[in-house]
Amino acid sequence: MVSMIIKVLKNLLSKPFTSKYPKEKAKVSVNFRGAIHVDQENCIACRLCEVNCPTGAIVVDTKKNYAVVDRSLCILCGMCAEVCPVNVIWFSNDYENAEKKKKDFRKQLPGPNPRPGKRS
Amino acid sequence: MIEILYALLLIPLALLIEGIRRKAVARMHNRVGPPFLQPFYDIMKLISKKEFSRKNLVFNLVPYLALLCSLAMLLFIPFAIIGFDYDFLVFGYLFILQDTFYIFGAVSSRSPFAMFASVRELLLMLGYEITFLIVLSLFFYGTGAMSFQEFAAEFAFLKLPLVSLFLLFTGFVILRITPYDVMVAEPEISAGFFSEYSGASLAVLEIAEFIKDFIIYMLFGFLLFGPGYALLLSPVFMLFYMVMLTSSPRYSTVATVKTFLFLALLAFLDVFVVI
Amino acid sequence: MHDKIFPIGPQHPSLKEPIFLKLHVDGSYITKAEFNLGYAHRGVEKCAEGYLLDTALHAVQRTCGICSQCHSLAFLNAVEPMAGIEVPDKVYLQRLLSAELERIHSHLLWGGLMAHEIGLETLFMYYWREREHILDVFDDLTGNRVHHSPDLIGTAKRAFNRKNLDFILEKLDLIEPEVKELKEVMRSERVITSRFKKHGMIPRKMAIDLGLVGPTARGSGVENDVRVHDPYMAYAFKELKVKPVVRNECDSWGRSMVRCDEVFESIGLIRKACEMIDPKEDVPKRKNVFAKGTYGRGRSEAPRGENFHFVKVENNRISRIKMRTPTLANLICYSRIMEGEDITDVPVIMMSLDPCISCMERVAVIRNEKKEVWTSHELFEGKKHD
Repeated sequence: MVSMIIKVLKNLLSKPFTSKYPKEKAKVSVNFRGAIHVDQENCIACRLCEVNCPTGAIVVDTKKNYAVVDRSLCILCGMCAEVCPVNVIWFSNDYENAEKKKKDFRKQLPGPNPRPGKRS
Repeated sequence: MIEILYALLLIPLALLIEGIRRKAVARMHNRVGPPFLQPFYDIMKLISKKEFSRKNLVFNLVPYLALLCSLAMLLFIPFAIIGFDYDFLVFGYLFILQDTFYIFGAVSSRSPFAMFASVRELLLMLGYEITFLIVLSLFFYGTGAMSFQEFAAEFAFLKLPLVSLFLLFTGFVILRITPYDVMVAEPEISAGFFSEYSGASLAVLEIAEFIKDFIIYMLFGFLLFGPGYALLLSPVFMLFYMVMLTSSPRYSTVATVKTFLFLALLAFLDVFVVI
Repeated sequence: MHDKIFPIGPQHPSLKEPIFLKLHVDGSYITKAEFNLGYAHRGVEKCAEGYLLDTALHAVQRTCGICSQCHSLAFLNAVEPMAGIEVPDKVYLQRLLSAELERIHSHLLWGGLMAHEIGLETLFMYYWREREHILDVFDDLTGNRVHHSPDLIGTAKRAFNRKNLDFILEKLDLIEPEVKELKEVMRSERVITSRFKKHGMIPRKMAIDLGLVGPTARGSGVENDVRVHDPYMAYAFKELKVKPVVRNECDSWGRSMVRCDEVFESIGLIRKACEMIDPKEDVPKRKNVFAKGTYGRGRSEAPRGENFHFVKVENNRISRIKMRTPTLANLICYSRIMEGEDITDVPVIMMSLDPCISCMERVAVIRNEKKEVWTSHELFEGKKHD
């Protein structure tokens, strides 16, 4: 009890451990798997990602010839990035992936892979 | 009439003090904590929520009666302008009345959690509430005052040390904080009395509780140190209770009742001092 | 209050997951305890059917949020011999790191919840603050904080480098003294220990008879640890011998202290493993695997006990997975140890068994469109075990 009181008083005067989230952005590592991106120009539509996705979140659009992601289904396991032969699927460090409307999850995030050589 | 207006103005103050309390407890937990105005947001949100009502008059009336009790008690604490000049016993009655209302509400809700809470509260009432009244009267008879307005003794805790100790311990039960909060013990019986309330009635109940907390902080400074120190010392008492709340685990019902019986016996020793 | 029913759950502040405890009480003493299950069936087993092996691995990991790595270890134990893959030592060591970090994470989480049950909210916050450091480590090592899926069959997604290992050691140095202090708070306070000691007794014989696993058994003096009895992966290495923490108190206190001490055991293991890993070595590239056998079984020691997976493969796709999670093995003792206790002690006893309901929830049986639920009696008698 005495040790607890000392701890409590020490914490009262020190800086809190948690951060003021919306104002202060969280720190994530370089490896963090955030939003899933597909480089639509270089996608070869091989369908390997579609076959290997556990939840069926990623489907290759046969008309447009690139992979399309439903981010509400994605569980961020990184399997698609792992199997992709041309490394066009990649994860950014953006962790704010919530959307207000369900259809917004189907909005695609294009862009070339900034680290094409490295896996996940 | 002006007193009632003042009392209504004090509601936001009580809410703000609750906000400060939450922030400070959060700091003790080493986290940032909610904004100071969080209790206001809570109350607004609760009022806007749909209420799960029952066809039970007692159940529906209890929150408002409890709020009335709290407001009436608030008028007893003598600030510069307001203050009822009634017998202190009326304050004690109001205090017990509020707890009784809670028990009525809890029993009429027929929820097993509320039932258990009321059984525990009744057990504890034997331990502390009757003695609380006696302790209050000791303070007043010891100083020759009959009402809060007349009470002018300073540093009464030096004269009545054991009674003061008992009063400090009652604070835990009244504020419903650990270590002596078996009647709202969250892991076992959810929120105790309040587990069946929702929406606006819960908001009213919460306001009543906040005001009561505010009164308790004031009351202890008032009784133990003297009327002049009441406002000044209320943050100190708040800090004391917060430190205790954050650093001690919950005592079981049996241990709580035992502690209070022991303290009551101690407090009775002080009767001889007064006589 | 004679023979009233006191319900705990399916939604209750002391339960983090849905289970219905029906307590018959006399006053505040429990005369009989029953429990109902079937509030959270997530169907991971069914979901994984028809998947490729690698894909199924990622589905299986999602069984539990706390011990996801241990599920994947059990699955890999089942599948890797089947596919006949040789796994390099570095991958084994990486898996051990994740699994042991996860054990620390789970036990710290448990410590926080336990502190909440005894009404010491501050300790709850402090425990979870330490847990946050472990989550940061996971973030750095694998890329995800909770469902970190670092494994692939036969290899890992990325090789840990010097920087990663240093980060682990730095964070361990940070949390070890803190956790020691928090444990000391639990131990030194008489009010806390009185809530634990002589409550929720599971005698050694009962623990053996009911086949309890994990810390629940180890708190009753049964040395039950898959890492020791059936060493798998890096646990089979000579340098990484696990010394299981066993205590003979047989009550909530014994079980709690087993968990507290296992944190330090795991920290020691991680330190050793960090020395053994060669930070410059790369892990092999992912290959498509083809399972040669038809079925395999694997075990692993999850933070809560033995975790068992049975995997059946047809045409290189999963045709059936059966998991037995530690909570299911421990579930059987719940109603027995509740009897005769006070209502006040129920949350503490419940938490000392550390149930993970949604990880275990596979007991509801749907037959003829009518849901059947096992009661405690039927679990004892084994009536519906057919």
